[in-house]
Amino acid sequence: MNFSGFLGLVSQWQPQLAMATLQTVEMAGLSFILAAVLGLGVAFARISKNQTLAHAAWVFTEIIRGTPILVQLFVIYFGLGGIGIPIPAFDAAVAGLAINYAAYLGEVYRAGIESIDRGQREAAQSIGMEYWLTMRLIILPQALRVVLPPMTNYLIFILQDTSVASLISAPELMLRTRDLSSEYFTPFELYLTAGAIYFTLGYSLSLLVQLIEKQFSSARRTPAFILH
Amino acid sequence: MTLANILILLLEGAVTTIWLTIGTLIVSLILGMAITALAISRFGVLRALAYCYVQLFRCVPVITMLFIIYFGLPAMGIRLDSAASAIIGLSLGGAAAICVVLRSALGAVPRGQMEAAKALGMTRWMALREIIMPQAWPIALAPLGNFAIGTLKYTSIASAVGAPEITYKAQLLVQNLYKSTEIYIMLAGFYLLMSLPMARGIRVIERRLNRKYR
Repeated sequence: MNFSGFLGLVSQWQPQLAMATLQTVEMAGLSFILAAVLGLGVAFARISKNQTLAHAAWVFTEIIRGTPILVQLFVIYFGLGGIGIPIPAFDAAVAGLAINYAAYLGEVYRAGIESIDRGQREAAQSIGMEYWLTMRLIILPQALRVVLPPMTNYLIFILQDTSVASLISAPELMLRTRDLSSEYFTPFELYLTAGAIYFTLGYSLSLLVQLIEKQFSSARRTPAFILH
Repeated sequence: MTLANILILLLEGAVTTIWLTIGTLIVSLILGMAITALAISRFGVLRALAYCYVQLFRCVPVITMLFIIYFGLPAMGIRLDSAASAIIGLSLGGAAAICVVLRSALGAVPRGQMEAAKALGMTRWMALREIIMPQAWPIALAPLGNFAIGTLKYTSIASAVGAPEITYKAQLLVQNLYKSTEIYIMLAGFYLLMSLPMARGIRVIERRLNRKYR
């Protein structure tokens, strides 16, 4: 197929692909916001003095990080369906992605909180601040600087993982591409177009990540010879 | 079908999953090291090439890569079976991830090390091999281990093109037995049985390496 023929096809697919891209962005955005909030819960549970809670959060993290997102989506969508709790595929995908990324973000938050010098907490306690006040006013604002760059990285990963949701037939870009492919019989052109859309979204995000990293990194060590 | 039959089928799938993982790790390590070599080259064109590769393949989802190869390439006259498509599809993105890891590990070695080696009259390549790399490997190990576990999990995507790995076998079982809840929970259990020992093993190696280099 020549290039102008290809462009003609893309313009035919354009309304459907644009719609599907919006669904992908919506799915990624919703799951990331949910994961960011859930992850905070996981992090506080893991550093909690309550041993049962800390242990439960650890088990949760290990199970989620030890199994593929695809299998988690299968368990939520087909598993819950199998015991008589049917949920729409899109909701199942958002729930699965949010739970999955809550485990990863929980670890990021925990590392961020633990990276803050002990003296900060001790100083806050010595002037009579209690636990949550210390967290909110002293620890978390400082941890945010540490946490933000890796967090935005996970935004790129979650965008890519929304494509897995097509395998439980949740409406997003990959599923729509597959439908179009069985309608037009041009799989190569279609999947390449989908790849280009994911690349455009992902690359814009990674530029944002670089900007944030530059903003938040304090003086670094000079590397040995690369990174010109 | 008895429980034993189900377990044997899943176990067969697990063996294929492990082979796919090993194949992908080997191909992506080789390709990833080659791209890292470009990324640290003295020539700007080669570095730009490596940058483009990494950006391109880091941003395209595994499943899209896999579908381009498995469903798209036959239209161009290139036909690969599902396992080969999966290994190539996973490795293209994997190499980009490995390049990021290796480059930042090399970058974490202080600049003075290279300068000192050059002051002693070592060539750039010698210094890289004898001085920089031995210090960079322990730094790269933890992220490489995470990459290996990530690869194991992402081989599950190969089920979408019918590679006979464990997730595909589980899907077949669900189609025949209509017991989606039980079988998918068993499937998750199988993945844990593979990934948790892997994580443990990587931690042991890491601790040993750190002791050696401290």
